[in-house]
Amino acid sequence: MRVLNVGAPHFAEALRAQGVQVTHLNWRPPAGGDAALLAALNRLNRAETEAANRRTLEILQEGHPILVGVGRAGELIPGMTKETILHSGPPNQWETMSGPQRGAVMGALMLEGLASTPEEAEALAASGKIRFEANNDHGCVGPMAGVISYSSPLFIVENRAFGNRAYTNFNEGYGKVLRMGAYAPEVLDKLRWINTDVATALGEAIEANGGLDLRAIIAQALHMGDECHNRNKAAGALFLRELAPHLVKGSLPPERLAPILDFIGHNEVWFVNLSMAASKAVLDAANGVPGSTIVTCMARNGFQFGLQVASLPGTWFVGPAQKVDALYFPGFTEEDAALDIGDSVITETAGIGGFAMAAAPAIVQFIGGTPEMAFQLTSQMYEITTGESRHYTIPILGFRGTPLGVDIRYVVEMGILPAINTGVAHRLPGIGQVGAGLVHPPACIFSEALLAVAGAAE
Amino acid sequence: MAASRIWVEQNQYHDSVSLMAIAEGVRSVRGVLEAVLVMGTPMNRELLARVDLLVPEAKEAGPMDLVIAVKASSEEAAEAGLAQARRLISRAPVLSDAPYATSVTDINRPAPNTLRAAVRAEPDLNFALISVPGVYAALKARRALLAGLDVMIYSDNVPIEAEVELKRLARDRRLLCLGPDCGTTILDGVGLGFANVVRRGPIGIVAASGTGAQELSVQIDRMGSGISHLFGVGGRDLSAEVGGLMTLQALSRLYADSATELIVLIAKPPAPEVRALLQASAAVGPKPVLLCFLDGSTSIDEVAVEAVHRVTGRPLAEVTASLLEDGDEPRWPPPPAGRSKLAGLYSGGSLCDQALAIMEEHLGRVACNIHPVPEWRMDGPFPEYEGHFLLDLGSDEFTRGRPHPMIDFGLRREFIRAAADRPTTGAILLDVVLGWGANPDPAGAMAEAIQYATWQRVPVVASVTGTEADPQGYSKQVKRLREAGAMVLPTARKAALFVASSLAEGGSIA
Repeated sequence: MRVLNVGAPHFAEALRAQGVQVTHLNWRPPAGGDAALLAALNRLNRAETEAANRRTLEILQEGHPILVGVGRAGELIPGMTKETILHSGPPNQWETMSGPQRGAVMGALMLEGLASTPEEAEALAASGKIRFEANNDHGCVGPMAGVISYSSPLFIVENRAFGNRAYTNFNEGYGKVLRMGAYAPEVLDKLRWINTDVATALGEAIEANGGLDLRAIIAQALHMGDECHNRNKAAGALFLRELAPHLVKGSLPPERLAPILDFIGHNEVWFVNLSMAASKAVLDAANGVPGSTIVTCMARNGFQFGLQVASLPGTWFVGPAQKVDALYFPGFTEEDAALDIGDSVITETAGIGGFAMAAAPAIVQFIGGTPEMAFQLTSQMYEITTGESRHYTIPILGFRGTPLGVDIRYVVEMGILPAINTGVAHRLPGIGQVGAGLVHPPACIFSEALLAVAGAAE
Repeated sequence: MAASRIWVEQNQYHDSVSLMAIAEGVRSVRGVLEAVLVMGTPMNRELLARVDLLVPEAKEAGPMDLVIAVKASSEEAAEAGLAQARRLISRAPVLSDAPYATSVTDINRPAPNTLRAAVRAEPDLNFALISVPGVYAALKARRALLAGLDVMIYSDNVPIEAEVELKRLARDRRLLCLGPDCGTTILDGVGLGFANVVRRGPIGIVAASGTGAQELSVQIDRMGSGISHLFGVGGRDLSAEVGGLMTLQALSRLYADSATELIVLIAKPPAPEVRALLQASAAVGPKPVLLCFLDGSTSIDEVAVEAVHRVTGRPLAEVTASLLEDGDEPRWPPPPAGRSKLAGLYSGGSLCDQALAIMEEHLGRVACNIHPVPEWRMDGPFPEYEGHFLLDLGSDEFTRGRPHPMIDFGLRREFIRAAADRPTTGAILLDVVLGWGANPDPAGAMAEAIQYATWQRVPVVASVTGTEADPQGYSKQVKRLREAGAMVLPTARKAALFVASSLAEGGSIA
């Protein structure tokens, strides 16, 4: 007999005195003892929920994201108009947008030709004439400000197992970039180049290659020290390796192709948009599983952090965006930081990013901490997830699958919040990244989601 | 010569892709001709029929059952193939075999503080003893059962719907769910919760009562016999809602247990339909089942004696004598005038129930905090109450925010003194329970208070539910109690009878 003692240590002692091997659990009251949450936990503590979650997990496991092509937001997104701006995080309005997101909006409006100066753009944005919608509500994801407008080129990622699609914009690289809220002329010029040459070349290359298996790239990248949220070096190199032979055979002449290869090849954060879209494509397929308590979306916009669960698709549970526990670049401090922002937490939602930190111990040079912390974080995430990924494995953990399927019941019961690696933007538009670190969602969104799912389970 | 094996695992879920991969693995076992692993859907049953493997067990299988079918060139190969299949299935997708962490992280590994983490870190855990507050216990119990652990739930205040669900889940997985509200279990000689150290032997016990089971087990031990296993099923198992779910499981296990020759079922009176179910099971079971419903019809002492008599063949009189070896009844010292009422202070609910039945037979109405008749339920402090009373100090109102009275004697000491001070008290009646989980020295803990009472010439009578092998030591405890001035009788029933008849004889002296 090998006993696990859950509760009074008294009983464990009596067993040990009889020579029985006992493990004593350091038990804490779940949900902080909150009666309503406890009742919800008890109501969802049953076979139906487990079956629903197994179904959801299986959908996630089978998800097979393939990059199939490039298109324009205006053509790809139903209901997209010239006056629509999609942004990261849960639904937001101009009045509550943080600095970086405002800057990105202004830049996008100028890029679309709806305004010619930042002042005009600002006035237009505040006028009520612009429709703001959340990326995630339209199958899109974008890092940091995540602004997508009518003419934005988007990568098209198809989930081969279920046919659904997800989209993301093109990564601009580091420094003064739109996603950090920069809107200076050189930022917009670069975007014009991306929107033409880069989009064209990649669209042709992807088609010539017959698509690009993103799941395979991510799986390999995890074996090469990436976690595919903040560390994407290997994934980017693999991307280029696959497409370069096709890129050179495309319609662009060498002198226009060379800068593209150089741009992608040296943009170490290039692949994050694709790992986000791959994650989105996998997760979206699980939307609508009745009774499931698994999280299918997490996103923030610098103002709020939003979450969606599989059984309540389209319903956002929101709470305040948090301050990142960050390591700051020289010259910057906490005072300069914007709050947590971006759709990139979709990677953690799909079991990579911060959840796979154990695969990327070098990242601690970027976000602070020690390699041991990287292992511990991944270990902790196993406590709040339903299963382990079949495709994404971590060599140093014996090729154990990454933690997959965040279950809001476990989060509430154990008081363990998903751990997210993230970059930090300057709170003022246009300055760029000031640091990187760890952040958590606000706890309240999990409690609210739990109560809602339990309520719907009547 | 072709051979085949079929195995059905109930209540499983595996995707067909994993199952096919596992089937491949099984086919590589030497001698295996065909291996099929499928969920028991109608379509899959057809598949099995096509390869001539649709045997009766497979036909019964449902969509949530996994059917493993192996065809091989010999019996040995078929056996090996089936074993490999079951091994591969137990490692199927969700939880990986990989170590919890590598040696790098072991240095800094945090101790598991969730049940899932504990089970992953130590896969050979097979039993969970749960004593967290009732409102959380169901969550933990379910998780433990799903992880394949047997479960004992000491906690009470678990909603009855949760109890039913847990016991059904346990039954479906062929696991134990002992409790909620189970204080005592002995499995393979290991005492869980409050349990005495009793000899191993041929008598199996199924108990919906903690101290009742303890008293029964120590009596069997004293009479020279022993216990195979003692299953505590929880106080509500025999209610109409739960329907005896775990009791029936426990009976099955004892029927199948080679070490068990006879079974005693001890419980408070069950719901009528459950009683009928039990009597039916007992009637057709392969081993004798003695029923002891603590309703006054059969006492613990009587059923213990009958059980030992049957398994040893020793004459009833001899067996009874070995139970009451403590021999002669003590002499009752008449208390002072005006002191004629009972003050009973119990730590065990069943022993209190037993005493109540005996007292009311001899003394008429006795107030009690767990009296079945609401009008006679005592809810106020007893010093003001002048008549006969019994208190079960293990009851909710006395254990809120306080350890169980079998562990902590603070309240009992206080009450003994208060009872002695009460001018009408003519006798103080106590149960003293030893064993694992109980106070290391109950007699010592009460000695001063008992002395206080005897100095006031209030007789104190006690029984000791324990064995020599208990950590506290039966004779040591009896000696200590006697030194403090208490009269000790050999069984709880004898103690209650002694007080009842003495007070009844004494009459109400003005």
